[in-house]
Amino acid sequence: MKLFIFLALLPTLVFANSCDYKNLITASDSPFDKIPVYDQDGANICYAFTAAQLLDYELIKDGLSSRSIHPAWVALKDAANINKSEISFGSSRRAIEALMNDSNCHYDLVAKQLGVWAYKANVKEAELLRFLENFTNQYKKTGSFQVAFQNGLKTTADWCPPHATFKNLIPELENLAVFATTPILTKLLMPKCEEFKTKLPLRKPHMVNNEGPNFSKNILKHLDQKNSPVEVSYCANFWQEPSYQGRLSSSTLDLKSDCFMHSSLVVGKRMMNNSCQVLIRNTWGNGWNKTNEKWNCVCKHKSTGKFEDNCSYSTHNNGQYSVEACWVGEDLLNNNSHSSVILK
Amino acid sequence: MKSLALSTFLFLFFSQGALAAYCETFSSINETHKLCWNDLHKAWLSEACFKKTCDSQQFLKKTHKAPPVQDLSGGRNPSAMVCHGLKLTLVILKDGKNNEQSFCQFSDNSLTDANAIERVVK
Repeated sequence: MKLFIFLALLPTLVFANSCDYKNLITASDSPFDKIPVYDQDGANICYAFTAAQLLDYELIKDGLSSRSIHPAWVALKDAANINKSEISFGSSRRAIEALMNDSNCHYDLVAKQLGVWAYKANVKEAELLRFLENFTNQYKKTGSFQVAFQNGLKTTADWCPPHATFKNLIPELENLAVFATTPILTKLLMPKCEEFKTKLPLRKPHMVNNEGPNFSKNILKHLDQKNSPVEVSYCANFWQEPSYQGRLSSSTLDLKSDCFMHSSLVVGKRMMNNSCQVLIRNTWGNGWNKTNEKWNCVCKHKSTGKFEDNCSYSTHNNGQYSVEACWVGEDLLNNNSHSSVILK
Repeated sequence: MKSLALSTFLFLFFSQGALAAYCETFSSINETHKLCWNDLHKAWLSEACFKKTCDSQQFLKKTHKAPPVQDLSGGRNPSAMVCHGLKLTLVILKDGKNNEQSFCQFSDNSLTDANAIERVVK
């Protein structure tokens, strides 16, 4: 009889525990100690920033001593794999699969190679990528290097500093003689990367579409069973507008037309005031801003390294804390997500 | 009257000092900047701004008209896009733990964090 009651209650017990506390950032010897909080600036390659972190987390967990994957390399591999000429708007799952079949060029080497062109153009990495995308789009339309370059400059000028010197890149671009971002980056990075690239032992990604309330339950389960983060593709509007619901209905994957698709990692869970919250690690820098000031977050004291599990804008915006991730309601995840990716 | 002036001077002197109590070195591949926390503006500012007036600090003292709404597709950082929209140089710098943060650079080369800029544009 006792066994029967226990078995009858088992699903309830399992369900009740599904939001038990878990925090992959504050866990002892967390791989996140070696993976910084990224700031993707104006580069629209969120999928690559998230995939790079997901892979680095697993690699460090398996014994690698430091982060090794550069988001721009991930973006390049994704685009090259499907013969896409631009790197914007890719897929984390597809990018990870592409990296599994290829090799990695170490983070530092990619940053150094991109830095050479960024330095010549007197801009930053994201601005360089933006210009290349604009220039190559224009080339596709006009077929003229001169016109594409001038139009590329004009369309980049909306958010580039006046001192940008993209003209210094003309000899390099003419010399490469390819006019799409993917081959340009390939030719820019490969000479060095070919020499030093290494094959990494990567796990296969698995994507799950959001098909109802089980979506978040599966994420919580993965956190519990695998102690690993989960990538989510979602409408980021809710960071500034907490009542925002990106999904048009719980039965379809259709999203509102004003949804800003973004990709981040779910790295924890907890119960707060009788509701389940998930911990999201974003790629918008480690400070307090208009998107995280409404939320309670996990902060790290910059000098002592001590974590604050429930820090807030009003009490911790004093320059001494790094904002590592923020807590949001599980319902927001279900109402705004399109899909998730885990590593098997 | 003299004591009032003296106490005002002392208050301003010590409060300015307190405002710059916490400084940190941020860097990128080819740049290093020392910035200090300004508690009044809740912002990182170039260390030089605590010694003499700078454009960054002047900017934070007033509310400014927001630039045209920027395209946030692909997960672009909203604060960074405000900085781009104002045609300021956007500099990504890393702290001692390699964590990244967006800073806006003014024509006098002074820096402040993009988050602080975003708070003073409406």
